[in-house]
Amino acid sequence: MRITSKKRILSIFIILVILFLIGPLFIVMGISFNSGTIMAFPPKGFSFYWYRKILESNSMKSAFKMSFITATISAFIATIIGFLTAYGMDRHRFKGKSIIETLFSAPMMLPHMITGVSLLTLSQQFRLIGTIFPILIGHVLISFPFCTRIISSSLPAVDPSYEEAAKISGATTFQTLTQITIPLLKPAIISSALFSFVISFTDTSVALFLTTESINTIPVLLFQYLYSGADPGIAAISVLFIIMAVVIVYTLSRLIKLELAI
Amino acid sequence: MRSSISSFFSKKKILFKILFFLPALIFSIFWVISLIYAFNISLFIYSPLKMFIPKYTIENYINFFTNSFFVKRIFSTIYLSMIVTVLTLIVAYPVGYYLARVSSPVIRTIILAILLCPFFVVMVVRVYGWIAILSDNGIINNILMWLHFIDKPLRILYNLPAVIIGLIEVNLSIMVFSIYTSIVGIDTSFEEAAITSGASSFRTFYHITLPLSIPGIYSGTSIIFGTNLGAFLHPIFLGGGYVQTLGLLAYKRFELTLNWPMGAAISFIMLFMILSLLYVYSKIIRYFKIMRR
Repeated sequence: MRITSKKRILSIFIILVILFLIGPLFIVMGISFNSGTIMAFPPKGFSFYWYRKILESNSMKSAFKMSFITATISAFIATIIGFLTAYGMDRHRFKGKSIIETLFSAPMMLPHMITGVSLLTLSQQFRLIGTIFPILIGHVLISFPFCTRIISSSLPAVDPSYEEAAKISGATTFQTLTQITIPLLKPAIISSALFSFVISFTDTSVALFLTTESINTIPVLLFQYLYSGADPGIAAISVLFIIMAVVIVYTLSRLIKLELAI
Repeated sequence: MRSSISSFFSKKKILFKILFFLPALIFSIFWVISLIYAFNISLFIYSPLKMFIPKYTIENYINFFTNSFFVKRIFSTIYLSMIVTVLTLIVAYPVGYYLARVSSPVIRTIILAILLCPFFVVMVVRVYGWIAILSDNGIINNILMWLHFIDKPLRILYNLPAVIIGLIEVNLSIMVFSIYTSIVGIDTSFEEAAITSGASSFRTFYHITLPLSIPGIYSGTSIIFGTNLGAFLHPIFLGGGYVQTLGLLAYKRFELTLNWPMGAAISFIMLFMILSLLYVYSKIIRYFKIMRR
């Protein structure tokens, strides 16, 4: 194909957009190595000071523990629910399907703040504030539609005749599910788990309303940190997030065709 | 005899079908109940000591709609969201088109991966990146001053454009994916047929590609539009107090003044606004689709 001038302009535009997207991330990484206290870029002096400072911080450690536990449990639940829902949607037809789909997708589509606010009022009533439950429920709500979508798009690749063959050979539905369907869906299931883990780990808008001093998540901690005046310490934590994002995206790209996830 | 056995099995089948949706339904119903609870609280009275008194009143809503500052916020929030959505669409469309039509799968995977990465980074971090870029001490000002283009730093942070830029950045990935998905589904033979019939590439695009990509445009923009209407993180950190969205107003009431009834009321006004605007949007799209026939 000849490289026309139109194609060249388009390519330049794409590169600019990519820079626009990852520029802020690179700047943040640069700031994290700053030896001074101001957010200067290029950094004046190179130092791991900020990394040491945040790694030693107690609030950071407990927030990390909280975020990690919440994300793991939430990913577990969301993947299971996503699988069941995707399977149910695909294998069975019934009226009112689109209404149910809309209902399930709603917490994800509407601003997360609304879910956070509503769960806050509910948990205040039932004295659940300060426990992990409202955060868990909120995170599952906003991530399981993603899982449903990912698994739904992989389901067509699982030929129903495999399941029929298993049933004819005498397997119960449970056996069919666990020994045929699920192993065939392994990439999609692992991807859903990763996706929902990240959504929970990085969620700010829901957790912001549901955390207290005793229970804090890292995004909320970052929010408070930035709110009270930013120093490069926030950049150091950010770098950890960026690295995590890159690793997860790489893993995802190995598991599924990236286009299917959305 | 036979009919009762078969009806027993069909009942079991229906029960079985429902079983798959049960977990999701439980969570969704929980969510709906929490919404009802929040709405309930929005009808209570605010008390600085106890946060709210369980007595019913609609004064929160009346206070909101009689306050011209609040009512103007509705329009400024919609205005902000529309600008961001349109600009995101303009920037994302070429990228999505390119991704869908580029021949090398390696490039496609690389660009998709690059687009996906920021999606997984906490929004606060991305906002912080923009603060570092746009602030008086930030990289743009540093470079411009180093090149001696300006003497004093340009004030490009803590205003509306900064918020718009930040919001576009977080929305781009989603929009590009939407466009990409829909253009990928367009059979290239349509475009080839148009070109071999003598149409210029512009006409091909305008009459073939663009109309067929409208589903992707619609789904991407409606997701982004809804999310932007509830945005409060970017206005807080990049707006410097000049950009007050409904989400920000509600957040302040929950976290600062602890006025839960008012905060809940604002949240529901926001929710109602989002749902009605999305509904109107879907009707408009349907109208245009019918017009095309």
